[in-house]
Amino acid sequence: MTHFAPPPLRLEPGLPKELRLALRDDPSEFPSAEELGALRARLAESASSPALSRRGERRPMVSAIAVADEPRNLELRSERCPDGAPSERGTRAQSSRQLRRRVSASVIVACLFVAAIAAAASYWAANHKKNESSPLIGSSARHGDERRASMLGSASPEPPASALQPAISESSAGALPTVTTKSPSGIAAEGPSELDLLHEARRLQNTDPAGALRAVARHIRLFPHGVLVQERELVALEALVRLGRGAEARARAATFLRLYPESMYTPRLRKLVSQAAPVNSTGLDSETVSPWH
Amino acid sequence: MVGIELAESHDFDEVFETHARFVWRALARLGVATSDIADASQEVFVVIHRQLPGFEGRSSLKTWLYEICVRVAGSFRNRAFRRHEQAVEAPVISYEARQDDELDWRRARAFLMAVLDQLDQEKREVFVLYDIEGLSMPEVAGVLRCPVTTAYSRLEVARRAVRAAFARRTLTERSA
Repeated sequence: MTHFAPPPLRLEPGLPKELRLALRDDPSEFPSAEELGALRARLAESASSPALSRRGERRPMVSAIAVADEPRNLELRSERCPDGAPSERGTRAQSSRQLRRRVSASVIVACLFVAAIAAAASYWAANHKKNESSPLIGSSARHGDERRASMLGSASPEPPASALQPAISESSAGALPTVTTKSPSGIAAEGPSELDLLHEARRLQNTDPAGALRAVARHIRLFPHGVLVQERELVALEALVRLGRGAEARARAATFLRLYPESMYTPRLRKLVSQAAPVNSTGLDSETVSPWH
Repeated sequence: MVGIELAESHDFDEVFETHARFVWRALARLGVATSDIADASQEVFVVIHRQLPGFEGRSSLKTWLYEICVRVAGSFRNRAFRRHEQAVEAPVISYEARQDDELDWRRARAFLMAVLDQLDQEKREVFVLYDIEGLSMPEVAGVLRCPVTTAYSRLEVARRAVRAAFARRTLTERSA
């Protein structure tokens, strides 16, 4: 299978300037001459030999390695060492013990590999049968994924602010219109950047909540898989609360909490929802009698 | 045998002289705390010295060194975690920056390191090796001993987190 390597991140269009800068190499990343000299001295010292770099001496670090390496349990795999290589522990007996250990480890790994293949084959066979009897099951994972994208990302082109449906039932998710992104990362190569749009929405959320919702809708359309989805939803919630549309705000908040239970915005979100107008005893939402409408 | 030992010793010196700076930098990028880099570098070269005689050139020397750096860095990060320390310290600017440009770079890099610090080590490793060190994806997969597809998916997750963090930072700065 051939893979197309993604271009380096630093070449990605629309990347924040600061991130591009952070990915750059810099000479200050290297150690100074003093630091290098100190490292050389420490290596020589750990070898209990005064000159690590002095050529002609017999492998000055060997004794230090035997002591230093094992207790630290670095778990470095030593398969690169040929079996017939001269043992660093020195004796022939140790060398053959190591060889035996390696051979037995290889046998165990081979057995496990065969067992894993057999298990995978039987699992595949069982699954294959199941899929034949119920062809819809196979798409459930993708379906779930689409639901996640659709719940916060679904929008018909330029929907009115009132059309921002926060919660979408699982059964209807598959029928929702999908939005194609211009790039796999959800970053559009042209037009306003994700940041610009969200900045605009934030700017409007206090003075023109309806305008903020329009900006949010545009963000949903252009960046359904953007990196600022949580921030976008927060702006939408603020705007809905300001417009007195409590039911929508609560439903949208519920969707958010279901998708991002660990979000750092959760406390702020709960506070916002608690500020939203309560549902009337008649069962009608207060927005229906809101003076803002 | 003496001849072989002389050759091995020579090789080690050469590796040290040629790659010590590179090892130091890779360890820092892989999340070893500034105060631990000297110790970690020493440990890397102890391992190199031990394994160099068996290095058969099945991979390039560069990827072999990366492999050692990745494991030593992981070990140091775990130790830092067990000591309940922060793996990445607040950026310490020990000398006056020569130019604003360098100061900007230091700030941006310190933030990137803090973001990477929040990731799983394995995702950080893919990001560092591919997007900072510039290895090819097959090389990354070889160093980390994982399938190439796994490396791709880890890279995507890491990139997403990094993009999001920098986008939030930019947004906050603009709003301020």
